[in-house]
Amino acid sequence: MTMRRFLFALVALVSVSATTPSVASSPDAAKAFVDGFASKVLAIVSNESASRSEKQQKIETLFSDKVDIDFIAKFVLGPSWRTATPAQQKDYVGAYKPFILKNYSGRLTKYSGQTYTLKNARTDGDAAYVTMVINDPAGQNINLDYRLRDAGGAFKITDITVEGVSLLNTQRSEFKSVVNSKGIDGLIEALKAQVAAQG
Amino acid sequence: MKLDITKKILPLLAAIMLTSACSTATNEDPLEGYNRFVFAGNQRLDTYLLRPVAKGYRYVTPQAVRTRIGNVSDNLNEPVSMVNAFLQGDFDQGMRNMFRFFINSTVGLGGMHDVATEAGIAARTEDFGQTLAVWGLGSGPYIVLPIFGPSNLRDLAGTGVDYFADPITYALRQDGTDWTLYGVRAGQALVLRERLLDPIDDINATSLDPYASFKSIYEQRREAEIGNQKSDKPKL
Repeated sequence: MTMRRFLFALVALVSVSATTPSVASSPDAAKAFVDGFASKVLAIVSNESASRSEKQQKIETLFSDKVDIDFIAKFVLGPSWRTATPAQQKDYVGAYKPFILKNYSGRLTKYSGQTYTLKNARTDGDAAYVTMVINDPAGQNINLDYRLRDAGGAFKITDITVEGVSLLNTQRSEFKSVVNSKGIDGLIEALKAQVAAQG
Repeated sequence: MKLDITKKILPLLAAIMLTSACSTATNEDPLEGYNRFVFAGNQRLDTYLLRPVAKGYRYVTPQAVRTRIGNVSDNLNEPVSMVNAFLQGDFDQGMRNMFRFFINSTVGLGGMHDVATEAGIAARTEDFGQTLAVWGLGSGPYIVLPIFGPSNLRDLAGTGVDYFADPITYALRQDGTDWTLYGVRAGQALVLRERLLDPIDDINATSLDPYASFKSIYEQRREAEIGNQKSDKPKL
């Protein structure tokens, strides 16, 4: 019973983020950013006249703009980032970007009528946190926590936590396990193979 | 099955307390070899049996019907949640579980309609694994159970205690056999597996190491559920 709600939430998790370029990192500005992001995601995935690949393409563009993929790539590699050679780091980031974009854009296109409600927001230094509830007509509500970073006047998403499960922490564990058994080069190969398999 | 709580469960708990009191680190995996072996077996069992059955259930039932069945299944968890909320000293939550069970079983027609949530009393499950954590017990090592999947030493003990402490277990044995009980529990498992069809498919399709992903998700999720017990305040 324990894995129920958070796992579920992973389905919906793709509904991250942002629209209005924010001026100051106030809680309201953070909230407005998430609102803009989520409404754009909804507009894309609920457009019934668009094909799946068109939706996927638009989601990828939106994510590239609003998600801090460079930061996330470094974080999820953990301590191995520092032991990697500059060439490996470059290869890794190059392989990671299409990997994360394809994974999440693919999940998001399976939209089935969910809506969202924004709850609390707070800021802490240059970080901001916004909570959202996804209302799923077919099931239980899902709680999401967005973590944002104020990257020079505009917010970027740095993590999404679904029912207590951080996507960053989960991927960090996954990558650590792959690096332990196959090394960094093995991880890079696996990332590329995964992207190739998804087309 | 005899309910020999004092003779069987208490010594087990004592042993767990001794071995796991100090080991709360969530990233270690001393049983990894065994766990990966069982995980691989579970994945096969799921691919060839559990997942197809869940797909079949989804195929033959409309969403509205599954929602009702899911509500009935969830409602059966309220009594054991109530017991655990009280054990955790969370009187308010225990009363909420009790109220939810009462109102959903009656006005909600045997649990089919979750009228309590509509009245503003949201669902929250408590189990004995969480109770042990609230009491200060560490999680112990991560353990993948055959068929049942991710767990840890503390949750394994918790599941055992819940099975015997759950009033529903006794209610379902009124006919003198265990078959009603097993049937209902199997039905609840089916409901859960159907709900998890999409997320689990996603993880298996996208993770480079599903074993590591499920372990991390399980551990984070349990921490979040335990955290809920300590405070009702929003996380932010």
